[in-house]
Amino acid sequence: MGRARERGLLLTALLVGLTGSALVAVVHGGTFDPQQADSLPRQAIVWAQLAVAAFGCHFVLARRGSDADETLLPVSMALTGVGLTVIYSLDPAQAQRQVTWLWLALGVLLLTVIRLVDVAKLREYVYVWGAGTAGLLLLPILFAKEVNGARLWIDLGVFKLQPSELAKLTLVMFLAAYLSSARGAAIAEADWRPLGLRLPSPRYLVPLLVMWVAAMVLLVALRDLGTALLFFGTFICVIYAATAQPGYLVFGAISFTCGAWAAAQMFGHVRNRIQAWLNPWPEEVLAKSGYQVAQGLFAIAAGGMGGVGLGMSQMVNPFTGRTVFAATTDLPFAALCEQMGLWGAALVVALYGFWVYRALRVSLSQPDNFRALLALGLGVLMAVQVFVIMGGVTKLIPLTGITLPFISYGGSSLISNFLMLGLLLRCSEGQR
Amino acid sequence: MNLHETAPRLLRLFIAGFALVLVQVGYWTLYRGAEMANHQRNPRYWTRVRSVERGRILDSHGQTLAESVLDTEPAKKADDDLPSALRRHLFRRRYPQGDLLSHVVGYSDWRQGQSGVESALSSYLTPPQALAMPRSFWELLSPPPRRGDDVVLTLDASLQKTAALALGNRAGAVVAVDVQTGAVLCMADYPRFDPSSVSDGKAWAKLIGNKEDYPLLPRAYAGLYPPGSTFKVLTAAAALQAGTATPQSTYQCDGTDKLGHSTVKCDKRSGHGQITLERGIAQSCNIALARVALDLGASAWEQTVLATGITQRPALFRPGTGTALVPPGKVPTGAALDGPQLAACGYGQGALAVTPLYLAGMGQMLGNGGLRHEPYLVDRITGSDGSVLYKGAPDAGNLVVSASAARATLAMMAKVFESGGTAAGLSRGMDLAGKTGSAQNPHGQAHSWFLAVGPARNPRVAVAVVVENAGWGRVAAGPVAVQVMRAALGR
Repeated sequence: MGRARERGLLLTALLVGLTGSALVAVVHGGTFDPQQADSLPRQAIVWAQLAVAAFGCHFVLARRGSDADETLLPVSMALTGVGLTVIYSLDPAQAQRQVTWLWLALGVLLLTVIRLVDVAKLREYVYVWGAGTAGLLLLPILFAKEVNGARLWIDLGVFKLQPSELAKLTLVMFLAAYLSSARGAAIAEADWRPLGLRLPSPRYLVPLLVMWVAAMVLLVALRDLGTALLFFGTFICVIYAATAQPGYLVFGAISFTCGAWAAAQMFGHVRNRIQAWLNPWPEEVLAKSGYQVAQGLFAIAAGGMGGVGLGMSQMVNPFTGRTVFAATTDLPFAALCEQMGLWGAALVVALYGFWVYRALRVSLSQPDNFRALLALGLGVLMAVQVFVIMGGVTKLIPLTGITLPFISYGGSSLISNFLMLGLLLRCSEGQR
Repeated sequence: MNLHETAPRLLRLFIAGFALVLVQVGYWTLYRGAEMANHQRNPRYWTRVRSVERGRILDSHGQTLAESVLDTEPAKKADDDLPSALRRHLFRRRYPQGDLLSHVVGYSDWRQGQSGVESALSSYLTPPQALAMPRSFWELLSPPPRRGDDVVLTLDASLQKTAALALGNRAGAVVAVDVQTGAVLCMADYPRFDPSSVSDGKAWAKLIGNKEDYPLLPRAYAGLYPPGSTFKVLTAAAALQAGTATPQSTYQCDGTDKLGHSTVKCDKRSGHGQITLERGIAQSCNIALARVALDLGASAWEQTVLATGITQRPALFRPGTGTALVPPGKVPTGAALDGPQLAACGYGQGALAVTPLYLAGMGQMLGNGGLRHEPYLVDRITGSDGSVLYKGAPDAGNLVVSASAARATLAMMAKVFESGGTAAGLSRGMDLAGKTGSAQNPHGQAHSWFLAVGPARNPRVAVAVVVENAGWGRVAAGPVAVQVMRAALGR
């Protein structure tokens, strides 16, 4: 049996996470009453499930003799373990549900790694991905109910689906397929020079601009600045990588800033986000749009270098004493900073950095452009998403309600992240 | 396509972005950490506040009026999502005397805020150094014992109980002050509330929503009422001091009189006829006292009244910071004090408003030979090791009227209890000086007032009583004042 390195790393990742959760359980008063969500037996079951699922994936890969990257699964599982610990410390009942989602997510991962589909074939469906992205983003406008000013979830009765989490994947696949096609390749052959910048001929830009405008319109309708930022950031980074034109990054940043500024003038919900970012401290902002930002910063500030300790988060509303709204989905990074301090935050950021680094490395070793761009796109997507939410929580940029990959609570997010992992593992096969 | 060139650049861009995030984390926690930790909207600040064992509040005999006990109730109503390791160290406030001292001691609740002594002396009860940040994980898990200082009041809980019982369920207030020092002996009022109920959101909403009888208003030291005829004694003392009148000066009262372009009516419609100042005090003649004020003149009257500190916020809670809790009285001065206003103020109507605490202070001043001491409530503050950190003492004093004028005024006030006086037969054998009052007001029947100083020959205690909309002074307020005086002198 191969993949000994993966086995060792996975074991380490799980042990670290298990220790963390055990500490939380003790700090929470650690009862043995199985009726209670935060009791030790219930937590043991959670971690047993996690271990079985993770090692299940590992053994499937090993049995198939796969030579896929051996570090990505342990790194992803380490982040998931950190996430479970953080969620558990904030809301034990949600940690239980998160494990159920994890089973589904690892199932999706398995389906991907057992070569259900041929990765190279995915490039043939370029317009399926394009239309799929638009369609997935359109779904909530038609069916979703508005929750806290954003329309993100479709209620399927049993659970709520957040289609934008899947749309970000189809976007990456579309970009990879499109930019690796003959038409896309022409984009790199820049011959148009407005304002002294080398840009591809307008004719080749049209489909991409249409895609961008469509996505922006949809997202303004969805009232979700975070997803708009994520999609657009991924878009300009991937197109930059494919064309080596820094103009895309520069123009992209300028046009998005202008777009966001214009949106802030037009839409109250965007204006509130911007205002809460610029100055969340006045009493009337603090009570409403700036509430989450401020509570996140309070948590980060409490952490210091080493944190206040696992399970000791005080992410509660100062007046009702209830856990801060959406703490497990939007603010887990703040809770993590509070509990583990700057060192813990640096460790988690390093894990993400490593994940992105491996993705880009996989990308460079690919024989064909599609797979290379796909792997790169996955890495870029991960990096941009992590930056947007972490930057938002730390008041570097406006706080938006997107998830922190592998760590935030949420089924759609977890499934989509493990799907990304699966695709990346597939891309990494046969490198050596 | 040359990803070998662009991918490493992108990676460097991402690493720079991630590094910026970590710089921000460091900025917020290392550079802004202390500021964030003390922010009023930060739940962690309130956890620190609640994990300090706030000092006790005691009465002059050592009876506990407020204390902190560990909050052993398990996360009631699931309204507390704090880690249980923290919850175990949280204190809550206990008020063993129930509602008896609700306005003096006040309440201290981390959601609703603070009032009374709890508010004014909060920096002693919960010293800032006890709020210091926990330094380590272990300190957070088992915080070192943090105790605030104990505040001992000059107030006597049993006298307070007597006063509250005497007042009963009538809106009003009773204040008793030590004549020699200005120390407050009791400060009871009604309606009251139970300070322990403040932490209950529903009970609290009911308290602040009650716009009918304002149970949160500390009537004893913050209720402003027209003083009515009780103010006549100050006019008389001022005139005696200035020499514009003697107890035997006579005035003509015909029931109504045109004085200073306005009509003054006496309560005795048929008029008192020829009446001396002494009888004018005993029988509460408006016209006589209006004339005394006019003879005295606006500036002399104003000077004496201002010397009583009526326009200043009394530092009742000293050394605490709670002067904002105690409002000043109202008195027309300067141009506003024209003839009609001076005549009306002379007998206690006009644009005057005082607190029961102020009136008790006036009694103290007259009983103490004209030397006024600012009333005070805090006798001493002791550290958790028993050391005395602060000792309350009367201030240097302020001579409002001469000792002889004060003595003469007091002698006139003694006649109030004698046959023919407005409180005849009320003293129950005690040697008292006093003054009735019934203050007309726009809210219905007159407020019943009574000011008593006793014993008249060697004053020790001054008592002021107001009963809202209860009519004549001798009917409602008088018996309460005498009852409290008896208890206070018998102590």
